[in-house]
Amino acid sequence: MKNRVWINLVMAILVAGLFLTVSCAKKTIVSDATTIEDQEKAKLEADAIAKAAADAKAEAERIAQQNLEDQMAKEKAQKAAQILAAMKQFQDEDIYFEYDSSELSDEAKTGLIEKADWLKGNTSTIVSIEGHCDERGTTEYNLALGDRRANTVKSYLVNLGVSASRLKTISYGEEMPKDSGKTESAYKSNRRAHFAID
Amino acid sequence: MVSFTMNKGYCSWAMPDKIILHTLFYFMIGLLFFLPPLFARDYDYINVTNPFLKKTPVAVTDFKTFNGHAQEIEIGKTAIAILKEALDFTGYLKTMNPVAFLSNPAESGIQLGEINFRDWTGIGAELLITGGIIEAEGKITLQLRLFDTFNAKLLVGKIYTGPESQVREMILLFCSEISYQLTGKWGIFNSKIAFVSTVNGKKEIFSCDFDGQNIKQITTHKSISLSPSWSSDGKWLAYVSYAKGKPDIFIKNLEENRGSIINYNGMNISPDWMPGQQKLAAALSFSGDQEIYLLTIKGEIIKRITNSWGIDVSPDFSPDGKKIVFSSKRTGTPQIYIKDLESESAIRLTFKGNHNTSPAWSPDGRKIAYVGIENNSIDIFVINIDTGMPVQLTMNEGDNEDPSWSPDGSMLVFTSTRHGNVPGIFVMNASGSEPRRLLQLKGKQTQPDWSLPKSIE
Amino acid sequence: MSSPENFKHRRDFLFSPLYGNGKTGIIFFSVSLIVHALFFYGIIFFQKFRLPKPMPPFIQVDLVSFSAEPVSQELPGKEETVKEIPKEEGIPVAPLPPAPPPKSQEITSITPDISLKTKPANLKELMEQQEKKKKELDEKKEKKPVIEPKPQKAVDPDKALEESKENLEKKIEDQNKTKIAQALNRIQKKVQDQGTTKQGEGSLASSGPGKKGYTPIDLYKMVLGSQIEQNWVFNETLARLDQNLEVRILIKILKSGEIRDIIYETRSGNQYLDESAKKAIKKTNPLPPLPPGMYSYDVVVIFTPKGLK
Repeated sequence: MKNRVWINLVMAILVAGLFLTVSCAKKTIVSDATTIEDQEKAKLEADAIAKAAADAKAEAERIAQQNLEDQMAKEKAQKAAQILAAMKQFQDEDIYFEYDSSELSDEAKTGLIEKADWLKGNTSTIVSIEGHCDERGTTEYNLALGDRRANTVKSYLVNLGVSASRLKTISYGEEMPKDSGKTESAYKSNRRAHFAID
Repeated sequence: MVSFTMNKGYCSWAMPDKIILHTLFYFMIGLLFFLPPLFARDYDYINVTNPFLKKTPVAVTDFKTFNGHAQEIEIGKTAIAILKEALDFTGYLKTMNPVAFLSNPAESGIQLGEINFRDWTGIGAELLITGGIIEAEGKITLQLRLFDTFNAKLLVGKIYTGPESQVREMILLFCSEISYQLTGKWGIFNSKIAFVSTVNGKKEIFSCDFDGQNIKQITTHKSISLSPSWSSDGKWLAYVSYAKGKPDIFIKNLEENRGSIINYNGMNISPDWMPGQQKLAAALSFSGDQEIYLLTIKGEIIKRITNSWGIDVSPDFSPDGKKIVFSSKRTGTPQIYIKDLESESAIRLTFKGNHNTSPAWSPDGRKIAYVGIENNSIDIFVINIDTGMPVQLTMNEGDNEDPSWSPDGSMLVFTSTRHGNVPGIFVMNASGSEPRRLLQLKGKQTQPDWSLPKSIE
Repeated sequence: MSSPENFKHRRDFLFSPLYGNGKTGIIFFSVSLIVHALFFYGIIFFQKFRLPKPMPPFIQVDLVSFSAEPVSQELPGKEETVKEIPKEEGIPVAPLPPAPPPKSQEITSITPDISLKTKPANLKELMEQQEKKKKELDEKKEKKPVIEPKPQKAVDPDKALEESKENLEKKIEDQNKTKIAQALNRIQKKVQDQGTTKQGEGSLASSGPGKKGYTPIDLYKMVLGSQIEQNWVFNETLARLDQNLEVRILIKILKSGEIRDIIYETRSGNQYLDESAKKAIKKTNPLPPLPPGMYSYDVVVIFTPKGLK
């Protein structure tokens, strides 16, 4: 938008300049004696004006260029931010499970599709899928359950087209809860598969 | 009915003879039927069902000090304190208050001929322990005797010699002798318990004596270390650790600072030693599914034990090493199963409840202790293998997990959150009575494993 | 069946010259008969003496509460019992063990043994023989005194109860066991409360139905049971956590309360339990003296430890 304003302004100046130069040329034909001096003078003036015009033009172009670059940088930044956000989301948003289960709910599957998309768009990353449990259940059993959760997630992603070699799994059982509370909601938030980018 | 005809004057003797003989004969028979009941005792009965005392009262008397100097007296007192604590720990003995004692063997004599047993039966002491101590040139000699007061018999008499630092060990050896006399088993006195405790938030492996004393830290991985398991000879400890980034099984020789690591792809968890062997069972998931395998001490796979899709975890060997009990989700919910190592099929043991895990086979081979979860209550149960009847041992007292039997089967050690909602190590009698805390330590303690006693003589 | 006529005839034959020499034969035979009769009479009397327990097969001992059992009179009823028998159906037989608490009337009409029913013929003969022997015996009674059961005198149950209670109480104080005394008071109170309702159709001919429902021996058994329980030490762990154990020990108590014999009637198979039961009894020695009128008392104590919680 600003660019336009500048452009208009420049154009206006240019037009004004053009008119001025035209009238200056007429004046030189009427008087002879002073015409040569006037002509020289006019010529100089015309040159100056042309130069000014050229400068303005260059300025405008430069500004336009600048704006373009800014624009591009901004877009790039935006994109980068988006990428970062996507990555953050990939790591922060966990996939949740029911009590004593390693099956994927519909919600979980939707979440995994997003994860798959991201992974397909970031083919160079390698991730660890962590399986976690709530504290109910014995230590060893929960290690096994977490392992199953991690592996179930991995299989699903592989089916969605992610390369298996990029996906590592590890179980932490009940050893690293997200929420150490004893409420159902705390338990729920602990029954998760978590993605960690290596 | 014998009939006869009236025949005047003449009677054939055959008939009356028969009558008499028959009469007498039947009479005798009749007597045989009547007499026993006549003489048979139909006794009165009295029913007695509730013993007033649930622990055998034992009188522990002051030690006789042979030289009489201060140090000897001091050590004698320490020794008695250790003795009484150990005996009271058993759950089937109760040391009596010395206030009630009628005589003092330290003065009147500690040997069989010198004891007036009536003094002891009269106050209700069924067992009597006398002792003598000699301290000379840094060496301690303890004489210890156990008497049956009602039968006026000497049950065990031992003499121990050693430096002062070994006094506790001597007393505990004697306690093992007492246990052997009373129960036929050597008992718990020389056994140890391994457990997990947090240090600055990181889980490490620790060990202590049977009564919670002599706590030692065994690992310093500063990672997550879990599931300690003693070998039969007490020289090796297997445990799980994330020290290398994922759960692997570490096998460590406690005396010689050597060992091995089992680190197949995936998880390597829940190790349990085969009794008397340098082999272990463990749950490995490298195949993509958690299954139980038999491994050498170096980690080589001997054979695959379970073969079912679904979680199979937490193996525990039977005392004869031929079977394992484990937890499996093969039918949809985690339950306890038993499998013979040589057979193909596993037998399900638990049918009550939807979440039964963490099994432990009793030393007498007859029972399995395990953890059952129902309605958010986590409790310890014991199920008799033959009858399949489960009995709940803990109730309404926090979360209770990780049961492990004492080597003589008289007690269970377990994790409980009943104190302040923080997990700690507790012990209780095998019947579920008298649960009490074993040790106090900063942090959280879990997953105890009770070793066999160090071999005696 | 046989008519008296037949019997008479048989008698004739019996006393006919069977043994050649008529007279000696008769003498021999009479002597034999007399001896047999005496033998029988002795058995009856001896048995009579032993019969004081047609009562409930066992009594549940519990300090807190109990159910009163119907009265079982033995003592005063004895006389009648013996005399009535020849008229009744059979030879006095101790009642069969698992019978329900018999009413007092049953004592006087004791049901005979089953085997009797299978030999009816014999029965009649035996009865009649008995009758005859009885008649003989009456004559000989003074010459051969049989064991006189002491409690033939009419015993006032109230008085006897009170006396025995006093004795017990004294003994209790001596032994400093106040708990038992309290228990006794409770028992008495309960007995008084319940006695009247439970009194059986009294055939205590010598005294009207007493107010109390308990005999001295019942009280004694309660005291005995609770004292043994107090002295019993038992631990499940030492019993290897075996379930459903039971050991039965027979004890013979003398008049003074001293235990003369401790015998295993049935062992449990668990040595620890057996030993603990024996020790409990040994510790309870000596017991309070027996209720008056008893010289000795045999009772079986059944130990059944309650199982796991």
